[in-house]
Amino acid sequence: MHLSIAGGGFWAFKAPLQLNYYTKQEKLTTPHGTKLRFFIRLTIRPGMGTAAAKLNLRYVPAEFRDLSETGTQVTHTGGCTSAHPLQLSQLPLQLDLNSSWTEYLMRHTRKTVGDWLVVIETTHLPLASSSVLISQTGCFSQPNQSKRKKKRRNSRMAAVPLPEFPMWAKFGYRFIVNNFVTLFLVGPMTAVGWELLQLGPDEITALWRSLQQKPIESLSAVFSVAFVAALYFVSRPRPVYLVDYACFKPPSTCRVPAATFMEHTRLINSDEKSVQFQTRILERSGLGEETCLPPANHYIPPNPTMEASRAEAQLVIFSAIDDLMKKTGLRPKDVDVLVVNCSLFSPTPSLSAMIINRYKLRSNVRSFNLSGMGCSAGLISIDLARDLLQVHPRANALVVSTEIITPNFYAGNQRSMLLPNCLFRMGAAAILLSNRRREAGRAKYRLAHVVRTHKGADDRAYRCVYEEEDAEGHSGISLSKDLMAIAGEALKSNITTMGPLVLPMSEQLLFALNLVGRKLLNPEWKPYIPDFKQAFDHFCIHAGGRAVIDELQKSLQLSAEHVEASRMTLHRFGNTSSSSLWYELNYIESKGRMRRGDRVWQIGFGSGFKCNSAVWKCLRTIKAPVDGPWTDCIDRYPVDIPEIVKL
Amino acid sequence: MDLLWTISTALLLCSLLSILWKESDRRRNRNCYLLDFVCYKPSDDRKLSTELCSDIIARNKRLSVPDYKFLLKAVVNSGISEETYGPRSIIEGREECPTHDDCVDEVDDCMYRTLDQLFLRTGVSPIDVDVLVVNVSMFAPSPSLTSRIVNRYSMREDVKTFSLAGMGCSASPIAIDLVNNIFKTRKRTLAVVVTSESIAPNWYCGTDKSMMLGNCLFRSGGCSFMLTNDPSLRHRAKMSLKCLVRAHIGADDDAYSCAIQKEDDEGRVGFHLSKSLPKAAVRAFAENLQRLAPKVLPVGELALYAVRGLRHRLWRSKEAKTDAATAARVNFKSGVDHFCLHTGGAAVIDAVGRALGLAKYDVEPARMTLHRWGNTSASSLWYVLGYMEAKKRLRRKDRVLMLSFGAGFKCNSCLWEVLRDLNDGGAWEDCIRAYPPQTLVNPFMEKFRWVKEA
Repeated sequence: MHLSIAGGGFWAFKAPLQLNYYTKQEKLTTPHGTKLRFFIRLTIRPGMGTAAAKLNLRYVPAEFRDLSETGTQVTHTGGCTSAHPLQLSQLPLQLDLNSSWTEYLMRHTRKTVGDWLVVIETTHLPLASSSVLISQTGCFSQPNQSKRKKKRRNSRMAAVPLPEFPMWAKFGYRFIVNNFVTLFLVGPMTAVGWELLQLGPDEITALWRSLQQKPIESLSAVFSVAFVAALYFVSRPRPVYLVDYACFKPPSTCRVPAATFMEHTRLINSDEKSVQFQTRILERSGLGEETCLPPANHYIPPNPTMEASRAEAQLVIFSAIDDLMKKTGLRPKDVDVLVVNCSLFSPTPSLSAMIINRYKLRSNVRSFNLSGMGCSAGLISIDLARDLLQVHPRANALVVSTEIITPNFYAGNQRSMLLPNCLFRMGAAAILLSNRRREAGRAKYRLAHVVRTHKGADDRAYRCVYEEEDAEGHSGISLSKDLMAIAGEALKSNITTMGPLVLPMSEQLLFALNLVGRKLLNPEWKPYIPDFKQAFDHFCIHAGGRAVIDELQKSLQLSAEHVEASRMTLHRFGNTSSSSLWYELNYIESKGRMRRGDRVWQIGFGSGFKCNSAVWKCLRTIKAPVDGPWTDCIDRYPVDIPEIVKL
Repeated sequence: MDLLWTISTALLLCSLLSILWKESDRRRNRNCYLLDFVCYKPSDDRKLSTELCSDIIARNKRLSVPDYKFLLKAVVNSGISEETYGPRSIIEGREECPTHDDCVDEVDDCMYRTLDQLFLRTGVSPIDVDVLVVNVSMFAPSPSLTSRIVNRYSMREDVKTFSLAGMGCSASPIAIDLVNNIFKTRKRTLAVVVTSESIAPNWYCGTDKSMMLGNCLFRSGGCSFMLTNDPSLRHRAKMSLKCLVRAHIGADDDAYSCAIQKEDDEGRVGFHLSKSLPKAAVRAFAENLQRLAPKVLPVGELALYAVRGLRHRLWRSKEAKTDAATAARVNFKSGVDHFCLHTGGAAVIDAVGRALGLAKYDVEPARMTLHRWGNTSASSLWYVLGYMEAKKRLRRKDRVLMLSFGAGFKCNSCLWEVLRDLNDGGAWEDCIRAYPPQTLVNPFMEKFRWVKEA
């Protein structure tokens, strides 16, 4: 059982006392074998007397009602004077804490009961009232069994369903709430309009004369209104446009049909069990017959040399950028920012330097090469490019997202590490972002929001996609079974931030009412899941695997059409890591579904564990035959993907 | 009409006030302060003494006497002492096939030790960190090193992490540039940067001379530092960033391939340093200085330079001079008080020192850093800075120029202004008294003269 510490903050802070703290996390095996080290340093300004600090670590059980029921596990305390600043460790002392504080902490750290609660309190003795409380709660401290029990109890608790309303009531409610301001203004506007219409010609000329008599005032009024409007437009944050993007289309010579894949696997791997395992995975993976692996992986056994890896990188990245330059007419000299992300292959000089070398970019280009950031790194690059474009006016940013498969072939027999072999396929995307106003005319999308969530503080989430060596020394990426659950949790955190930014008023109001109702009226009401279909028209969910897409479809209550792009991308191109989101977007465009004003939500998941999402707003309707990786096969899609394709 | 008049005046006043307010706010938040930095000091059992080095070389059965001669020459000329640190896997004899754990352990030790100390010294909680950047050039595990830090220190969910890899020895200013750009979009932000290099997976065991050179120079080291743009922390800050210039001449093929990781003829991966490296370095350096000079030099010096340049063009002096030579005629000491040079090697330091017209006193920190810590890649700048601080050279209002070179080929520089008198010992605490030593010669030649004579 692992315990991790997350959340927390300062409360009730008094001026002369300064509390500095941080946690140092050790591996925790059981609640009793806990090793938690806290460093607390108290600093007092000279002449301010003494201070004391107490550290209290408690286990709050799941049936928590009142803190007085719980036993204190560990308590440390110490004090210091202004002459001797102190570092606190292991001194026992009792601490009683009233329950109102605990409830407050629980509420503010958004943690449920059944967690560890660590309370650090310091008191400044000359001012008895001044105290600082820091709470840190750990999550997932429950062993699996009790978690299941909890789940069952939750399902029993969810006996009270939300009331169902007829369709017309829903529409009426949404119309009224979402257009509240407009409806509110309609009344006064019509009144004013009516008054103006009723004015006779004499009254109008009289008004005009009175204005003419005071030309300076009226001019300055017009001027000041214009000035304020101009100021508003200038001071708005610079919009970031996605001018266009291009995805790499792997050559058909790199194709890996299931039969080829299995035959190669049998030849490479002598262990019958792992071959069978890989067959089972491939049957259920949802991958089609046209996914591609780099040339080096077609050798038996694969030869993952650095040269071959560079060759793959050059093939996928340069093809994508060439395509993008052809589409947009971008000249290499016009690139101001270059961001490249590739998780598992980081040569020196970096891939960004490789691009600079190939296209002869300017010497003052700002290049960044992100590595090891997993499948969700594509949106991290977008986030970074956005930040850079906010700072540098009139700039073009070239973002390249890819994953190089060659060096990451796993040759061992550990099942969790064999999974990536079956799922990951080659792919790359090059995206041109710009903040030049004149690009607004031809740009495809405008970036509305990027929200990043990093669940790395939780051990289970951190370990669920993990590079390591097996017993025989073969290095590979191990995927844990908890992945789906963790992806769901990460998505939940991401949505918590994203929701208020994008959801229409009607959904937010319902959510708030439901929350208040559950707190005040009936705690057994089912929590309201906001309808994200109200906020977005298209969804690009990272094609990590069939189970991930299933999980998201369920938790976001999406229809089959909403996840079609993800499923079909997985079928046609496999898991192309960070670039998969762009293949999906291209699928939607190729199907002719992207209209002006549509909002697209891209959600990426990746090792760390991270969940990043971006919202794009479509600026122009994109007509159907779109030049891209789907050109020659879009007519065949969507295809039916059976649960198991027997090999 | 009076009403109209009042309203328009009020509107105008309000908008003017808002412009003023925004501008002052922008100015206040524009700065990038260095709160503190902690250089990594590995444990003493990781020191690579002369005997240990000879053991490591002897273990490699592929080497022959000419290779020994080459290595001896390289080590003797390298300017590094017996005090430098290597990764544990190499000391324990696993340089040929380091495990993933070896590599992770080496970086972990560096990151955790420096960060522990950094958080303690600054009194900042990891929960308050908004941006986290790690740059380790030649090792990029998944989950990234940033995720390792987030996991260990339980950072917030919305922390912005960036793991930069493959950016070479000059990645430190790149990380600062990244943070500085984010600072301009967000107020009151706290950033932590870890800069280090992983040696364990990159030890070269083959016989290609251009790749063996790296083994003689690169050593373990790292640094963590904390940056902020919060004006309320200014009084605690050590330095503030004045300007940052990045130059990347990767467009040139020779420059791109002069420092590159590749396989030798036998398929062993190594870091190839070619003969055209000095040329590339000079070009990148000149490119950088051209853009840096107008930002750091006083107007008088610039005018003098312009006059000289004009005269040069008018008289058409016969002798063809390189860009670096023209740049060198500018007296950089008029705008900069201290120079943090990248400790790429003794020759690099001397060449840069000459090009900038520096005295022995100015290049001393870089030479001593090379002697004590070796080439610690991206973090070397911070050891040099640490030396200056330990020697109590950094006084208030002094200006410090950091200059680094790296694969790509890049030359990045940044100028800092010291905000208060600094006299922290840091990683140099226990050995600063011994520096500068009488002689920088290492005992290799003395002990292995037989190789030369063989």
